[in-house]
Amino acid sequence: MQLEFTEQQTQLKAELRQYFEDFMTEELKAELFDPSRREGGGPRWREGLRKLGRDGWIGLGWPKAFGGQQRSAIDQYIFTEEVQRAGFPYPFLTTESVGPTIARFASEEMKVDIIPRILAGEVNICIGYSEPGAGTDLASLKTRAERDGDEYVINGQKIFTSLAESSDYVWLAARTDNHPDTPKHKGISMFLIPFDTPGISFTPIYTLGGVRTNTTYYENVRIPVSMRVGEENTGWKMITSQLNRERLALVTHGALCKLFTSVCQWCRDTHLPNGERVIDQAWVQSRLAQVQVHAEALKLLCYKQAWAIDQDNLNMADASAAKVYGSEMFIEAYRALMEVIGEGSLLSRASQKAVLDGHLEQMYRVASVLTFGGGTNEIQRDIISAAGLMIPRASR
Amino acid sequence: MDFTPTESQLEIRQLSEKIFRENVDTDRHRELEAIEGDDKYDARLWRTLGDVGLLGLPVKPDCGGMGMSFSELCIVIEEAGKVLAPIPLVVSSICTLALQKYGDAALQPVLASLATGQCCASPALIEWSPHQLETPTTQAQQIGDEWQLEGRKINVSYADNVDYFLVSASCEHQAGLFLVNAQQDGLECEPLHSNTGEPLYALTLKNVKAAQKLGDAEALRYLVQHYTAALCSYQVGCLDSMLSMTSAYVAEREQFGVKVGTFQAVGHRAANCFIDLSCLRLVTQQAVSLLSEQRNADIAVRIAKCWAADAGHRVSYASQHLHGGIGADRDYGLWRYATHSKMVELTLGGAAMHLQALGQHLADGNINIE
Ligand SMILES: Cc1cc2nc3c(=O)[nH]c(=O)nc-3n(C[C@H](O)[C@H](O)[C@H](O)COP(=O)(O)OP(=O)(O)OC[C@H]3O[C@@H](n4cnc5c(N)ncnc54)[C@H](O)[C@@H]3O)c2cc1C
Repeated sequence: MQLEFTEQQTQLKAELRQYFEDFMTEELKAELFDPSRREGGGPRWREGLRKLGRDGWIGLGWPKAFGGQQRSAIDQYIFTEEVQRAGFPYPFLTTESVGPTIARFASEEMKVDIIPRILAGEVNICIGYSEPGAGTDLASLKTRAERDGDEYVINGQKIFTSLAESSDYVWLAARTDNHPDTPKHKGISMFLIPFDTPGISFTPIYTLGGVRTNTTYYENVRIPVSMRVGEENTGWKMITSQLNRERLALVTHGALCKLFTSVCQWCRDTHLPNGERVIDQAWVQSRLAQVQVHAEALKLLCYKQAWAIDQDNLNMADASAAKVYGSEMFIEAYRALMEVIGEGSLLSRASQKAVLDGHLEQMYRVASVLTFGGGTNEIQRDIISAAGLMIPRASR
Repeated sequence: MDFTPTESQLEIRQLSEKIFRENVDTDRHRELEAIEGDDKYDARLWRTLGDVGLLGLPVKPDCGGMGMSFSELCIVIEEAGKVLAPIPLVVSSICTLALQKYGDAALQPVLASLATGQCCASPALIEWSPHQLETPTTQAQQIGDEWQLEGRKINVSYADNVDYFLVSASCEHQAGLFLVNAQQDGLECEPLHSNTGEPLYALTLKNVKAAQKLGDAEALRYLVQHYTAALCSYQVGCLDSMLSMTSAYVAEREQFGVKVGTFQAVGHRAANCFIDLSCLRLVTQQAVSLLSEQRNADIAVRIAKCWAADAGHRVSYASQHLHGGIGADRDYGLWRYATHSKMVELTLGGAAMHLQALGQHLADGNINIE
């Protein structure tokens, strides 16, 4: 057992840290400061993504057969962590989650068309799963795709389709078998559809976290059958496969560690009227130390998961445990860090001289999405209880 | 990075699991608990462990040991925690480690008999005035080339059964660690009644001659850190058993015509314990592995102890709650684990104390966490 990085892993980390120092130019940072560009989609962001493609980083963990580097899951984790630390909104869903699912299930033509462009940082894909009536119980979705000769005709509405405004494709789940006797998760198919196909439209949803997402509408959208991924009615296993991959990128620890270090630095540099530093107060020390203690456990949970993926023995309960722990811990950590900064932490990044550029003020607002998104924590706890502890579950 | 246990680590786990399973069960606990007085420890089990070499894992081969590391020892300790083995395993083996590191050549025979289980030792560190491990009020005085100790210690495990004590004492505000023969004149041993029923004693030292001064504050810190990490490993085993008992129980117990485990509130509280235990296991492995490699483990050990304390508290009460009445029944084994997890939680400092120490580190400028 060796819980430390190898020489090669330490080097990779250092190399990436330096790479992103240079990568995050002032211009790119300025673009990302704009609330409507925060999640990416702007011209400099697109240029950055293509650069990551050219420099081989997007393909880090991809098989050589697709032009990737086929590095280990631990290397991939190190990359994930560093890119998040750098504050670049990396399109994990496209590159690490939908992309690999397409690589596994799509036809040769589709793979040849899409995958090289994903690895080059030229394609962005948004995810159309959730509907007004279908959230956690995703299999109850109602958007329909009806066969008409060599085409499908799609009708329905999706909600919370994030990044739709800057996406080239939508990865869409639709019902292809409506028969009342068909179990609801056995009548779903997956499609990869160019987002400019006639009949697709969208309107924005602005969220508490400042992140924009969208309602998307599909009205008699006609697409060729070749845009279906895999066999008809086999979409459910693609959805679960994609969500399993997504979960791994949700709770990395690097960005929190960076934030923690900045807050500690602020507490060391900032003085109280009596001349003491903020960090000299016992309660501040305890609050900070608690965050450190919690972050350390997240780090090890994540490392262990990456290692387990490399060994091909990722345990479902462990993956769920990391997701639940990480998402709930972030919320507590942001709270503690705001507490030590005090009222100044309420000022948003739009204010002059906001503490740490108002970063915390934004983080606390986005934090809750992780507890219900990416597979709500209730379901994750169900999984832990059933798969990790062998406790029988109620039928649903 | 590699979380795979080595071949010999797997073997050690299997062997110790087998020995503990064959020797310790509820009946054995009851038998020992029924004994009035001091012999509440399982001498037979102790000898068995010594015979197969499990007590000398981290001891050098030329002193009768197996030449392995603290990591291997902590596997045995974790397995001991699973059954709450009634032996001085944690206390004696960390004393053995400290003797190996700081004792002089004359102590090799002592080391060899500790490594083979022919004798045992216990640390005497804790005093009535709490949270003062690093600044003991027990005094050490140098007279010629001898050291004499004077003071009072509490919660000394198995004091009436052990052959040696490792005593912390101060000399002109400098802490030190001393080896004391249990038969030494001036030592007085008085039984206390501990929450677990495990034999604990108060030790009064009146001008007691130390067999050797092992070292100063650094030796004491070495002992305390290894002791702490060993307790965390013990807690991993202890909570692991509590959680298996709990999951098995709620998977069988029926109310309202269904298994109580099918209630989401029940399943989720158990899931929270799973998460706590996963975290504790990993931070403990990290601390143990750093200590084994003789790297700086101060922060990692404190982090592990915070988890051992917090997870211990939460898993214990969740397990008791999810069992309902039977969990409190002394005929059912859970109560024993509840007491041991509390013992680990508080011994060598609870979560708040270690948090404060970690916070002090941060204030001192060690703020880069990766
Ligand atoms: C900012 C943002 C971005 C998003 N991006 C996307 C996207 O790009 N694509 C996409 O498809 N979706 C996206 N979503 C939607 C997200 O996936 C859903 O919000 C999520 O699946 C939960 O569904 P819901 O909102 O309908 O909540 P519900 O499913 O209605 O849940 C409400 C509450 O009920 C609880 N609950 C539900 N089922 C159970 C159960 N079985 N047991 C116990 N409790 C239960 C939940 O935990 C939750 O607390 C996004 C959402 C947000 C806010």
